[in-house]
Amino acid sequence: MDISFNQVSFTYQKGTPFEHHALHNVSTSISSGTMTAVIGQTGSGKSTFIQHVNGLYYPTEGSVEVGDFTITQDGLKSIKKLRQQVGMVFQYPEHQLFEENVRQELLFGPRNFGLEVSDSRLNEIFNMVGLPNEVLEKSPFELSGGQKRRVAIASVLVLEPKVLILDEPTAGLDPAGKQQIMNLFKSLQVEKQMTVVWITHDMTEVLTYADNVIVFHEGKLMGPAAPKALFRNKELLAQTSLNKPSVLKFLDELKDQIGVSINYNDQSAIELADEIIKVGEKS
Amino acid sequence: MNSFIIGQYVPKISWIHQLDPRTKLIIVFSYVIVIFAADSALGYGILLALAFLSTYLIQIPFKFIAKGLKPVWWIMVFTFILHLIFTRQGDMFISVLGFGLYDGAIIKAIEISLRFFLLILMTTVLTLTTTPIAITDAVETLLGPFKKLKLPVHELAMMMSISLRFIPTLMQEMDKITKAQASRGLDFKTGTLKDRAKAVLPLFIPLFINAFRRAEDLAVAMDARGYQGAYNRTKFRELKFTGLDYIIGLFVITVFAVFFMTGT
Ligand SMILES: Nc1ncnc2c1ncn2[C@@H]1O[C@H](COP(=O)(O)OP(=O)(O)OP(=O)(O)O)[C@@H](O)[C@H]1O
Ligand SMILES: [Mg+2]
Repeated sequence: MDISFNQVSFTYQKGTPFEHHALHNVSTSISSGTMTAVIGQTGSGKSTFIQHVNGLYYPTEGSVEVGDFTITQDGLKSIKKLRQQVGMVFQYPEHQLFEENVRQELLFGPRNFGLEVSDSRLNEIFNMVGLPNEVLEKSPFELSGGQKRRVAIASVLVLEPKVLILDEPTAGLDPAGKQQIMNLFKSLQVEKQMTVVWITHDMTEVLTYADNVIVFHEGKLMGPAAPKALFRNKELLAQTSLNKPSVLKFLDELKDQIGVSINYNDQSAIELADEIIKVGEKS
Repeated sequence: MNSFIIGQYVPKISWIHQLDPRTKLIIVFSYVIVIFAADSALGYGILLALAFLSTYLIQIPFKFIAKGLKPVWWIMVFTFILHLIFTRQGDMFISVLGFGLYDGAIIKAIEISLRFFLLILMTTVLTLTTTPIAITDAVETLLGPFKKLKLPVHELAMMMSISLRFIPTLMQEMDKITKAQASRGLDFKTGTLKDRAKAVLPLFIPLFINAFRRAEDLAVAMDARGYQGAYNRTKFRELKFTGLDYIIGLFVITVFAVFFMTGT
């Protein structure tokens, strides 16, 4: 489903001394079937932004369109239908688990929406997130943090959403786990044409997985841009206090210190090493 | 999100914000006693004037306070109606469906709702202008003498400040869990009463589990830093009365004393 924000502003606790303008006149569109990273400093409005997509917040001004749904300040009548199609995984989703076993936890969403989920489908999703089947019968509270995270993600995936929104899904996972989870989202995008939007602070993740990047700075939107173009834009990076991914930092240093200039085109570490050796042999 | 303001602190630099929390606590405490002693129009008039004066002085828009006290308005209306119907004092002047409306009931109903209103307004003024930590500090100091009676005053105050400290955290957590479960299709606004009661479980179970986890973490952290209760502890923030405290304190105490002596 296409997502578009039309001049959206959002104010927390309007009309109180705690009033806070979190989003200012945000307009952007995210095409169906793409993978979009949302980045920006702490407090820049990323979480507020994504929570508009499934109607957890209504825009104070402007409107949000998701497929055929239009959300304005008056809300949306068919909100439950929207939420069925837009899966949302919060930051540290392991804190929302409550059922007595993992199977029930996974069936919680489908039950709310009146969906049937077969056992084989349940197992399939379980394997997708990288958990062994025997975990299904365990209590969610006796799992490790990383396992809980996977259960929480699976509990959203069983709903087979068309749009998947994730708030820092890899925060606090081990490096292999991060990669596994991100590969899963990528494959959902590629194989099932899911629209994936995720918040991250990991620039390497952005470079590796994103088709587009949306940058937030003090509630205002900068971008969207293609990741490589973004990381070439020095002024924007400086203004928004963002870092380059380590590969690009490395290539910059290589150029500055030895004068070897290599263009980054998604090469792996080994491919880059080969290129550098070739340049070395030539000179 | 939540606009209910009882117990909320709004940082400003008004006069009343700068008073020593003990002064404010004593004033509010005596005010509450005086509310229950008052029984004349003049008395209520003075109390109302004092309450509105303090509400004005704290520089927080009255509209915000009024909105935040919305649930309280309903309780007031409810008490008013109950008293109107069930009080049987004075002369009956109308009788509807077997219920008499007495003139005493009107006075009583006004009196009770007014007392309730004053009580809430003044305590709200206190909490709006004083951080929970400052209130706890004041309670601890004022209860100090009871330490001689082996009452664990410090520990009680510590428990109070920890609970107060975690209220906003729990509210945030609740907000997050509510949104997370709503995203998984939980609906606690429509449906039968039974459905809605059941919908509360997915909210409260994680909330409680997280609260216990947090309590455990905090206990370990306190232990690790060698916390031992009141034993030989000094304070980082010493409470100090200033000239302003003496002036305001004296003024208010005098007003209250006059109240009692004249029996208004
Ligand atoms: N419930 C709330 N009430 C008032 N202000 C809020 C509330 N939630 C967030 N804010 C404010 O809105 C701004 C944007 O918050 P948001 O959570 O969207 O930031 P973020 O970009 O997701 O940050 P992070 O990277 O830390 O998650 C922040 O300044 C925050 O203080
Ligand atoms: Mg966030």
